[in-house]
Amino acid sequence: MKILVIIPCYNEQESIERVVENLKDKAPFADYLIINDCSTDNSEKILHDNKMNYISNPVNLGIGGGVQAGYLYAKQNDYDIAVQMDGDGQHDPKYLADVCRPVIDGIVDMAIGSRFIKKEGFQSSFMRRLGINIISFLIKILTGKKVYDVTSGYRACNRKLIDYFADNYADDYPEPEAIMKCVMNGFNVGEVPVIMEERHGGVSSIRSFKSAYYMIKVCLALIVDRISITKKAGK
Amino acid sequence: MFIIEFIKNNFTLQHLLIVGSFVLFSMIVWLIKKGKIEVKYSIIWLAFSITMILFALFPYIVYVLGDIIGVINPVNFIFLTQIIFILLIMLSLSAVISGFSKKIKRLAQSNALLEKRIRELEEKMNKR
Repeated sequence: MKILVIIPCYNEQESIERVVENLKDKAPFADYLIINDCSTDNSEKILHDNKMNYISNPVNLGIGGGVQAGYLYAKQNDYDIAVQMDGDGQHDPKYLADVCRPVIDGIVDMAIGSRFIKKEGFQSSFMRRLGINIISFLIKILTGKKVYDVTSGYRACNRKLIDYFADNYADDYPEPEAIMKCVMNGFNVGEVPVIMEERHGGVSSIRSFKSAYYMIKVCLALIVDRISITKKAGK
Repeated sequence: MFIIEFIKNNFTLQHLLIVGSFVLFSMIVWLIKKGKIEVKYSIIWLAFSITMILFALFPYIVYVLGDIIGVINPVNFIFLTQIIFILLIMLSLSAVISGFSKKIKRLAQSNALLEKRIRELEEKMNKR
């Protein structure tokens, strides 16, 4: 069982070293791949000097395109499970096995580490939770599937989904859209309770979350996905 | 003053349209010949300029079509046609750009993966 942890990294010079050390320490069974998405700080130098396993995008592809490169790598190197984990220290590697287990057992195709099931640890600001709830509700209406932590970037998926994501992965709002696409294409999606921490450094990829603009774009993207994909029965 | 009078009396909108549409057509053909526009992207432009040439040479078409859809001033029908063509061209450009951005993304990703393999190979070579 080969497990790959995909860590997107954009200007995470303060935290990336600690994240990798932590991962090696708490989850030695997994390989990892850092995707340096054309960082403008010292991230690449840190990755290189510490001989970490990383790829470096020649241009900034955004979180979606970057993570997709990771799935491509997982596909090329025959990994059974790919886990996404943020490079800012929000996600504790000690839950890696928990997030992977339902996927390994074949219960779900994608397992999302969710901070809203047990409601412990860092719960994000009120506005962000409101936004997450709206997106979650929209996904519920559009697909009938309730997912609580739709923007969680801590998720594991199996080989079928690795192949799928290597070719289809959303660019701009990948977390909610990936859930949408999975459900619409008949993959099973489930949630696993995890406890998240506040980020150690860097900036969220959802920087404009405060503005309604982000919400409108996400909602539109989800509705477009709902229209453009014909729903398939569970595989 | 005489020249302005002369132009006013002898040049109509139709003359302008004829000259303009032929200039547009020859520009497009020139660009295709030079390889600056690919044929597949030039088809809609050719259709556009040929329509304009037809309208300029045979204004009767404009009068009849304009009458059918009920435009009061026939030149408005020409504007309408031009706007429709421009919208179509812009839409097709958006589609083409989206296709390019997908391809560029994939190129960047495979470039990044190849760069990693080369880096690792070089490290192995240096160790020997």
